Amino acid sequence: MIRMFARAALAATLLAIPAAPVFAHVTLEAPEAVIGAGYKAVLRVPHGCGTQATNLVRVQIPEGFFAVKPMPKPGWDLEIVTGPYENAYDNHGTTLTEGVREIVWSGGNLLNEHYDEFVFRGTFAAALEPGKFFFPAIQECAGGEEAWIDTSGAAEADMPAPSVTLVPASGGRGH
Amino acid sequence: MLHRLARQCALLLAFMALAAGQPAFAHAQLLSTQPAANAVLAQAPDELALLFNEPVSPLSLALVAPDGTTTDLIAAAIGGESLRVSLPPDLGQGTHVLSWRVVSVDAHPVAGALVFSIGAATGALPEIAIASPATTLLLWAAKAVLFAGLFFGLGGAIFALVAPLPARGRGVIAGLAGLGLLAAPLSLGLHGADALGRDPGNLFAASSWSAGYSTSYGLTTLLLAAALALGLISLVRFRLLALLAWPLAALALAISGHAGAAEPQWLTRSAVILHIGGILFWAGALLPLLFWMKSRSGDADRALAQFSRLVPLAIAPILVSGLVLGVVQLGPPGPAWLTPYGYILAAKLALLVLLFGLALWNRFRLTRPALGGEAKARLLLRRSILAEIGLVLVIFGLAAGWRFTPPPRAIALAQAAEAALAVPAYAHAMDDRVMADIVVTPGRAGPVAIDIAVVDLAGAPLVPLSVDLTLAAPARNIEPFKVPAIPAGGVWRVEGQSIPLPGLWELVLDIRLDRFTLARIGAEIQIP
Repeated sequence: MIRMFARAALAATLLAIPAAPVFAHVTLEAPEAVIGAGYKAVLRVPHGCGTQATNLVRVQIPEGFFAVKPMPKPGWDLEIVTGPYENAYDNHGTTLTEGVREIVWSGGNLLNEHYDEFVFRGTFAAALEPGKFFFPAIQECAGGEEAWIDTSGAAEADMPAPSVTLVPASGGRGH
Repeated sequence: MLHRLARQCALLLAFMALAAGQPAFAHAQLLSTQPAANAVLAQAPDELALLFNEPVSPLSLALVAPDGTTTDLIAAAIGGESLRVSLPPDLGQGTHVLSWRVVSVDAHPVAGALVFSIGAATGALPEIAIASPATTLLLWAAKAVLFAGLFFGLGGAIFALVAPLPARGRGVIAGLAGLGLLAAPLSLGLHGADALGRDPGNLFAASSWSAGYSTSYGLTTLLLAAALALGLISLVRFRLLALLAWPLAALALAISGHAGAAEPQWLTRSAVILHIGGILFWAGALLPLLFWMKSRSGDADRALAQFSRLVPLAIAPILVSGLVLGVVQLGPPGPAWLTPYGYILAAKLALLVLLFGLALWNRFRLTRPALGGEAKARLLLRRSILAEIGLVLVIFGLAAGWRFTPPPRAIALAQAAEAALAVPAYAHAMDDRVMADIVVTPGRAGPVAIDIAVVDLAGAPLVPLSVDLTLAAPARNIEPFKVPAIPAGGVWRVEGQSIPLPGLWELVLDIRLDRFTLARIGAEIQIP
């Protein structure tokens, strides 16, 4: 009887999985973004490296996500690494050829038992294709790191890079 | 049943946690194992332990034995932060793999495999059994007695085919054949004990005999015993039986030993048969002649005359076949000649020169006067025959010593076989950014070194931050296990890893090209 209930409950919850994010990974809060539109990326860090506290969070800004601004965070030093873009992007009439390529929050102490979020915003280029867009991220701890840089998109990936699914703008809405 | 229920509950809890949107559950991470990965243990442990950073429940646990058989151990496992798995008793020697898959509260299954060995890693070069010196000495002695029985006992019976035997000599000859008949089975047991590296006390263990019999020496001993028995009978009645025993003994020695094993076998085996056949006649004549030379008689003269007439027919095949065998075994002149085998051959040849010298002296200087009744010649002939017997015995001793010295040909073959086993296995992996050549040395199951050369698509070397290799054998139910590679002179190397089983292995390389870039390329490799 208990087993039957367990199985039924299992089946029911299994059905619910695809909608539920996997909280074990470093992920982005908003799972979808519109091509050619602004996006507020909330990077969720659910745990440390093994049992160690996280002292540094590093995010790569890949080509195609421009006009990036990170949100400062109390207790953390904020650093941005800028560099040239491969393509030029139009930001409200201004052409951008360089910008933020990497954001580093350092000097913090996020315990393994705690949870925190790291925020930055920017714009997805209109020329991007629909599909997954990865923001490789690295947690650094006192004795090592957790590198969330697997961009293969494989379901069984151990440490997938945080990603957002790009969808076409509906009705060609300009920004 | 209970475990399954527990697992389902764990899954359920995990999914409920997800459904509730409660964050902050981490993947289970394997922190350490007991025994450590790739450990070589003297004895089978009672249990294995996998230590995780958080409690886990086992989903599947299988122990893959060195012969590839799989035992399901899910019922023998207790979950928790430390997953403990009781092992079945009587685990065999060799490399075992615990293939595991667990789930923690985040519901994310984590899998891996723990490779460990009992005694020694499978595929490791077996330690060569060191023969007990006492066994080796006894074996040598038994063979010397067997040879003496063969050549003087059976040989005497063969000589009796063409010449009369002296009355007293007949008893000695029959006695030697009888001793040889006893030594034959004894040498078989000692041969087995020697091959197994045991001391002589194990002579009476059945395994020594079966081990001895399972070698080519088994049939040789049977045939030799049959030949000796026929020879013994022929000395009493049915003289012609010696005619049957003669080729039988020659054949027996041709089918075992280094000489008959050399290629081309049709040549070497025929040579051995001629060699032994000739020696049987020549050496067999020495004892009867020794007895005949004591006093003069018509029979004695007849025997000496027959020997003198027929012995060239024996010497010629001995020389020709000996030359053929020496050439085949030693090969062209070179350092190969300077081996124990070569030294023994040289000593044997030196003694043979001496022996032939005596024989020629007998034949051309002593035989005629002896037949003419010259007392001094007969005395000299007698002494000369005695010396020949002594020389023949020493030569037998040397020939018996060959059992313990592989000829250069066999050494070269053994080295070639070892080299063939050490041939590496190769695999190539690539994607659109990076390629890797993977070399597993030696290319067989067991302890290996794995070299990984990482290059870009143009073939230029890359300098990645790290390289991890994941091995899995899905066909063998072995879950993937990851091992780090370390830089070693231009390549990335995995050392101290054992590939537990032959077969098709899946290799996946995680190559950290730079801080944010991970290349994952895979290949399959066939481990013979």
